[in-house]
Parts: sequence; structure tokens; C-alpha cells
Amino acid sequence: MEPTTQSKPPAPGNGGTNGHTLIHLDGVTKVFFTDEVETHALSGIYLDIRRGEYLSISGPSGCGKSTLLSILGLLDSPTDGKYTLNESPLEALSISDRTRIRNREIGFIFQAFNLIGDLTVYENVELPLTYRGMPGSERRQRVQEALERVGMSHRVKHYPAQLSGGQQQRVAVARALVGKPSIMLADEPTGNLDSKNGEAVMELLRDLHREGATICMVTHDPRYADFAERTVHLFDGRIVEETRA
Amino acid sequence: MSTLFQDVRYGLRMLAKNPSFTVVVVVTLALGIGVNTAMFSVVNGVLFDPLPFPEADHLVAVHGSKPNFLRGSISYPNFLDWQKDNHCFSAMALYRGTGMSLTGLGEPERLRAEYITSDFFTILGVKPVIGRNLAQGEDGIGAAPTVLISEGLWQRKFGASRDVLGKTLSLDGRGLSVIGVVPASFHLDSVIAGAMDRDVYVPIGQWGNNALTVRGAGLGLHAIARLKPGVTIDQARSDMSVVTQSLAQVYPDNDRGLGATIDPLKESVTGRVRSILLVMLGAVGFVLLIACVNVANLLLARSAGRSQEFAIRAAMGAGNWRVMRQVLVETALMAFLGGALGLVMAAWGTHSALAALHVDLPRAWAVGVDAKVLLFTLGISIFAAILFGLAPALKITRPDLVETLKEGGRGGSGTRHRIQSAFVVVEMAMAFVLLIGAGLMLRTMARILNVNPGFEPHNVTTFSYAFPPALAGSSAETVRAACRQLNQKLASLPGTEAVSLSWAAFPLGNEDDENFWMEGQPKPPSAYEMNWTLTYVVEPGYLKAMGISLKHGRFFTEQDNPHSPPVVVVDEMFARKFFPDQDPIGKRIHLNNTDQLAEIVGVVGHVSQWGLDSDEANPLRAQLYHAFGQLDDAPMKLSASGIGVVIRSSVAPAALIGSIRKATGELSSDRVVWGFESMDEIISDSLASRRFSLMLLGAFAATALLLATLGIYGVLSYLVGQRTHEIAVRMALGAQKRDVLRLIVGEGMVLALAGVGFGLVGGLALTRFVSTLLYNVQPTDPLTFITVSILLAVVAVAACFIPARRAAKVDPLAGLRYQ
Repeated sequence: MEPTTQSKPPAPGNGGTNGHTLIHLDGVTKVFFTDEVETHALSGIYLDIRRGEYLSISGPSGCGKSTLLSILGLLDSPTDGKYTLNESPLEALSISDRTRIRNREIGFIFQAFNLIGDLTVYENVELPLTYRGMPGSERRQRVQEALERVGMSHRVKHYPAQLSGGQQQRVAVARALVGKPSIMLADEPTGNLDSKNGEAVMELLRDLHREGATICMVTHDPRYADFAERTVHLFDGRIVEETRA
Repeated sequence: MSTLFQDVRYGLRMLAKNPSFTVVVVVTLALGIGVNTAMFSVVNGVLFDPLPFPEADHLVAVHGSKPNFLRGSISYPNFLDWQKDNHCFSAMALYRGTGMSLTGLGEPERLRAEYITSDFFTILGVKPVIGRNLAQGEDGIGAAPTVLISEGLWQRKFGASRDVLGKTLSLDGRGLSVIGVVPASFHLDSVIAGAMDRDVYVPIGQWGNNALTVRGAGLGLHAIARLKPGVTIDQARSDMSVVTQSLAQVYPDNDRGLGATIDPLKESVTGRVRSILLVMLGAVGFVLLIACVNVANLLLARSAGRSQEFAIRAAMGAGNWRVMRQVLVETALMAFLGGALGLVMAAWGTHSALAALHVDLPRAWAVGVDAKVLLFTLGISIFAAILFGLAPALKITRPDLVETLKEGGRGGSGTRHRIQSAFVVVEMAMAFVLLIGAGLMLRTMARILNVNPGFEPHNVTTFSYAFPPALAGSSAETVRAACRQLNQKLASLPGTEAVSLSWAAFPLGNEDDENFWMEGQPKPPSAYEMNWTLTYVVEPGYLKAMGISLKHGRFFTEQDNPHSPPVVVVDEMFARKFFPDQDPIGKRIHLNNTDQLAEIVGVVGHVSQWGLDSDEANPLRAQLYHAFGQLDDAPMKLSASGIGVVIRSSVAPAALIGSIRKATGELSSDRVVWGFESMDEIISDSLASRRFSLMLLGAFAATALLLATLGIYGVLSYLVGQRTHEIAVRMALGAQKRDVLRLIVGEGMVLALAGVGFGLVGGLALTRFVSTLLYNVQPTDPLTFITVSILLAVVAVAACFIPARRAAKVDPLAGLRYQ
């Protein structure tokens, strides 16, 4: 690994997006107000993520990794700063538009899989597409492709409870990629898996990246952080280090 | 036993620890148990309790069965013969209701009176508070004038003084000596369906009606009797059949075709409300079931929150039964609390509700809380405890200990959801059935109110009028003159448009009939073979006063008097029945009562005599009008003691009463006016029992709907709370608020529609039980079924919407943290 820059404002003329930049964070801060106490979860994050890049975010517990991922996934809004996705600023969007962009541009992979227990594997994977109003035939084709891609097409009628943890996370990966999002956000995707299944999921993500997917992964496990091309290290809500594989 | 006390102590602590939960459960149960207790206390008092007389099952009601009436009146001569000739009764007594003017004791007052024969009170085992009952022979014509007075009148007019015995009461101008005081505990509606308590009981021989001795006269006399020991009612029927047939041979003119109808007195008194009350008792059973299902759902939700507690208990070695008993003890405590509160509600609310509803319910005074009602309440409380406690208790006996302990009590298994959903379906189905019942009643009421009564009821005032007692001994001509004067006085009141005095039958009120045969035909050998018609005696203003249409010919004029040839007017029904394809105008008929030949001079529209909903079902519908001016001397003289008046006015009836009282007071201060009622009120009163059914069933259905709505709301709220995480995942994946709304409302609607589906089946199966309460509405009335389905669906959407909105407001980020 090779140390690169620390988190700081870009030099003038170097802070905008270029043709390859998918996400651009410009001075993003996040402050939580609770009982008259201000908690600065993120303090001035400047970060670009290029198309096709595999980025990992690491750091100790409470450093702001998950908050940053939530903001990237449009599940939360920054207190200050700018967030540009596909050259579109996102600050002024309505909740409905943010939901729509989340559905089309972002795929989530959670540590706890977050599959819905009452839905079959097929229905879980199909879920993001149903919210797009996509025709049934197209949905079927996409779901089939996604499940084949993660090697779970033989379990379409199973319920999550009938699968192992590794299999559930593969289904979750299929659900993340079925909508062909611009970026997949993975939050500790191996956190609930044993090392064998963890390895398998990481291999799957690497394969997806090799096929062109943009991935941003939060992990505190250095072994898995090394799967990424670039790793940003957070500490106390700031990017303190950036390394490249 | 000590562990049971421990369970009770712990249960009480748990109830106190969750006061809002306890209150919701106890109030829900109190509502269910309360309405059941209230309804049972009504059914118990009215139907189940025996009549309040010694050996009441030996008491029977006796009527004369005539061609048109299975339960018609008995003539006095026939009664005397039946009394003498029968072998089945230990005693028989005759009765007939009337009104009498009391004078000489303060303001003249109209009293409710009952003509009776000697054995009336002895048959019932009623002993006077003071004094004595009528002695044998004291009821005969020409006997010394005596009277029994009610305890109420005794207290009101004589200050409950024992000196009342032997004092003379002036009733209708005649002096009657008081011989006894009837106890206030005696209620006449235990003998005669719907009868109000009387002020005085007068021997029938004091009536002074010459027709009393006429064997063929139908004077509204009916009888009660006590079966001899060991005699069954069927034996009595056979015996009386022999008696009446024998009399028919002796008096063929009057008694041919006449029989005796004998009913158990209890059935006679309560029969008409029996089916209504039993349907209502069934309906409140549904309400209790719904309440239990609701509580079961609440307990299931709570048991989810307590699953870790139960798992820990099980892990510590508590057996299934031990844990189950803990839950059942808690549910029993809640059921008893609900039962106690329900009992208080029922005891307090039943009489108030009956009074507020103006219910024409026989023996309503007998409704109350007694040992049977207490036992019933205890029984349904235990039943409820088992019913709503069983599902949660069974659920906790099959816990997955490892998972539950791992989950840290988060709970919320799919099985529990399925049970709760099934419960919601059940209660929606039951609410649907009750709503269908109420809907059918509502449709019935609408149909009845749309029935044309044949008259225009608005702004029509009716009342009764008794001339001063001094007129009682006057000639018929004097009474005629007093009637004319009364008419003129009333006609001169501002706002009066038409006035008529009325005698004999009156729509939705008095009934009177007579028989006749056609001119040119031989007189039939007996009254049985003659034609029968309802008979009205009215003045020329009657047609306008009542708003009845003249179809053909003319109505009466002032020229129709005792000196002019007798004329009658008939209604369309009469014309169609007796003169099919002929013009009845100019035809003449022989009137059996007066032995007159009367000419038909007009045809008027038919009016509903028997009720808006029951007129068509009655075999006696032909109507005949006599001119009041042509009334015979004997009935004319009788009319002085009480006559009906009907007035149409341009002002509301209520505004007319004061001026009527004032104007008649100017005629004589000794006159008595009473019984003011508008025709609208008379129609409304005639529908009292239907309104009672409608309001009760409506109230039960509304309660059921409310409980079912709370049920579906509660389950969805609970599910939304349990599914916050799932909803957050969906929103993270791109579900918009509307998608979440649709998801939750959709799930609620699936339950509601399943409930509607089962309710449809249940409704189709159960509505036949209310078919006897319907009028011109099929039990499967499509409009009712469709409307109720839509109503339930709309209410369900509203109930689903609140939890759905809460679900749509889930913050996906916060929801995802909720793991």
C-alpha cells in the first residue's frame, strides 16, 4: 500500500468533478444534536469516488464510517457541504427524489443482510425493481441474471431462514446489483459471516468490481480492506489517511 | 394452592404495572359482558322468569275465535256459559279496558279502568293491600256498585288512609263504593300484553252497556282462567271445543262457527317480543365474541413483549402448565374485573336505556339483576377468560427458548401474526353479520315509512273527550246536541281546518267490527256466515281531518241524521271484495247489529288499520263508515263517557293542545280531555317495537364495528411496530411513502376483505333468523349486502390508514439501526 493524501480541501481548480467522477463530497459535515450536546460525526469530508472504483472506508468504531455511508446512500443528509452524484447536486432534492435516486443509483449490502423474512429469495431480489414500476417480464429476467451471477438461482423459492448466512449475503448482493446501480454500498458485508463465507462474499464483490461495478465498502477488517483499490481511513469524523492498493 | 395465590398476586401486580393496557382490556370486556348482561337481564325478566303469580304455568288466556279473529272477544252471555259448562278450569274471569272520569276529588281526572269479573284477582292470587276482592255475584248486572282502586290512586287521592274502604268514588258520574286496594306490585302487563297499570277495577256489571247482554256483541271482552290441577292445555282446548260446539247448537244465530282459543298466559303476554329478544341475545353474543377476540389479540401482542420472561421461567424449570396457568390467572383477573364493571354498567344502564328508547316491552318492570343474571355474568366472564386467554396461553407453551433468549425478547413470530390476523378476520366477519342484521332492519323501517297509510298524518291532532258526568243520564238527543256544540267549539279554534268526532274503530288504534249481508239475499243463519267489516263512526269533517281521499260518490253531510235514511260509506277494499266489477254506490246492505238497511253513498281510500307493516297480513281489511249523526240512541248515550276527536289544523298539534283545553273548559269545567297524540306520533308509536329492534341491533352492530375497527387498527399498529426494520429496508431499497402506505393498507384490506367474505357466508346463513322481523325486504337483500361490504371496507381502510401513515414516516436510517 502506498500512503496518499490526507483529508483536506482540494486546491483551487482541482475540486470539481471530472468525467470519471461518480461521487463528489465537498466539505461534508454531519452534526447530531442530542440533549443540547453537539456530536460531530463527520467534519469536512472531501472525497471523490470514480466510476468503476473499489473503495473501502475503514477506521475504529465511532469514527463516522457508517454515517458517511448513510450520507453516500442518501439515507441521511449532511449538515453542511455538498454531495454530487453523477454531476447532479443532491442537497435540494425532495425526500421522494432522494428515494427514487436511491432506488436507481445505489445498491445496498448490509452487515445483517436485511432480507425480508416473509419474502422468498426471488421476491427479495425483485423488491427494488417493483418500486421502479418495471414490467414483470423484465423484472424476471433481471432477477434471474442477478441470482445466477451470485450463484443462488437454484434457491429462488427458499425463504431467508432456510439459507445459511453466506447464502443470505449472496442474495443480498444480488438484490444490490439487480437494479444495475451506479454504485454498491456495502456496510461491513462480512461482519455476520464466518471467515470462509466472508472470503466468498469478498471474492464475489471483487469479481463484480472486475466486471465494472463501483463499490464503496465500510470495513474495519484490514484483510478485507485490501480487496479495494483505495482505502480511506477515518478518525474522529475526518479522513486522516488514504492508501492505494 | 400457595402457588396459585402467588400467581394471583403476581397477576395483580402485572395489571397494576400496565394500567393503560389493563384499562383497555377491562373496558373492552366490560362493554362485551355489560351488553350481554343487560340483554340477558331483559330476556330473563321478560321471557325466562315465570309470571309473578302462584302456579303461573296453570294460567291461560282465553279468547273467542271468530271467522276473522283467532283471538277475538267473548260476549258476556257466552262467557257466563263457558264459565258454567267447562270442566277444565278451576276459575275463569273476564276483563276489558276502558277509561273513566273521576270527579269530586279535586280536578276532574281521567282514570285508567278495567272492567273485571269476580274471579279476576283470585285466579291470579293477588290479594288486596287492604279490603277484599270482589265476592261471587258482585260482578253481575244490577249488583251493588263497588270498585277496587290501585295502591297508587289510594296514596294519591286518599293519602293511603284505611278509611278509604266504603268511601264512594264518582266515576263517569256514578258512585262506586271502594272495597279494596290492589297492591302496587301487581302489574296488568303480566296478564295483558302491553297493558298499562289501571287506577280502578270495576265489576263488569257496572258498565251500563246494554249490548253486554247481547250474545252476538263483540265488546272487546277477553278472559283468563286457571287450569284445574292435572289438566293440560290440550285437554282444556278439547273441553272448550265441546262447550262451544254445544252452545253453537243452542244459539246457532250467534255462536255457530265460534270457538275458544286458549294460550298459556306467559306466551300470550310475551309472545310478540320473544323472537326479537332472542335475536338480540344472539346479536350481543357476537359482540362479546368480538370483544374477546380483540382482547386475545392485545394479549398476543403483549405476550410477544413478555416472551423472554416466559422463556426465562421455562429455562428455570417451569412446566408448560405452570407458565400457562400464570397467563390464565392474569386473564381471569381481567375477565372478572371486566365482568364486575359490565354488571355495574348493565344494572345502571338497562332501565335508563329502556326508558330512553320508549320501548313497548311487556314486563319491562321485571327487568333487573337477580341471582340468575349474576350467575350468567359470572358464566360469561369465565367463558370470556378462557376464550381470550387460551390463544396467548397456548402460544407461550411452545416457545423457542434459544431463539427467544438470543433475541432478547424482540419476539414477533410469524405464527403469532397469523393468529392475530385470523382473529381480525373473525371479528370483521362477525361485525359484518351484525351490520347486515342492522342494515336489513333499517331497510325494513325505510320500507315501512314509505308505506302510504291512506291518510295524511301531518298536523292531525287526536284526543279523547268525556262530557261532564251530569250528561250520563241524559237523553240521546241531549248528547247529540252536546256533540254538535263540541264540534262547533273546536271548529272555531284558530288554525283548525277540519274536525270530527270519532267512535268505534280508529286507524292504528281502536278496533271495531260488524257483520252484514247484501240486500236481496236471505239473512245468513249465523253471524259466522255473514260478511265482516271494520266499522268507523265519524262526522262529515272526518275525511278532510284525516286526509283520506274520496274515490267515488259522496261522504257524509250534516243532512245524514237520525231522521234521514241510513247511509254508509265504504272503502276501496270493501268495494273490491263485496262488489267486484260493480259500482257499489246505491247498493244497500243489512247491518246485523242495528238491523238496518243502509245505502252505500260513497267509496273512500283504504287506510292502514292494523299498522303500516301488518295491514296486508290481516284478513279483516274491508272498512265501513257510519255517519255519527245517525248513531243509535244507545251508543250515542254511551259516547258521553268518552269519545274520540280528530282535528286537522294549519298549526302543529303541540300548539293546539292549550287552546283545545281552554275551549273545552269553556264548555264545562267538569269535562275531561286526555290522550293528546298527533297522528305522526301514533304512527311512530305503532313502530315502537321495530324501532326497538333497529336501535338495539344498530347499537350492537356499531359496537361490533367499533371493536372490529379497533381490532384491525391494533393488529396493524402492532405489526407496523414489529416491522419497522423491514419497512426501513424497503425504504432503503427505494420504496416511496406511497409504496409503504399501499403495503400496509393492502395487508389490512386483505384481512378486512377476508372478513367480508366469511361475513357474507355467515350473513346468508344467519339472516333467515331475522326474516320474521323484516317487511318487504329479503334476508338476502343485495343492496344491504353490498352497502355493508362497502361500509366495512371503507372503515377498514380508515383503520389501516393511521398505522400505514406511521409506517410511511419510518426513517430508514433509524429503522435500519433497529436490529
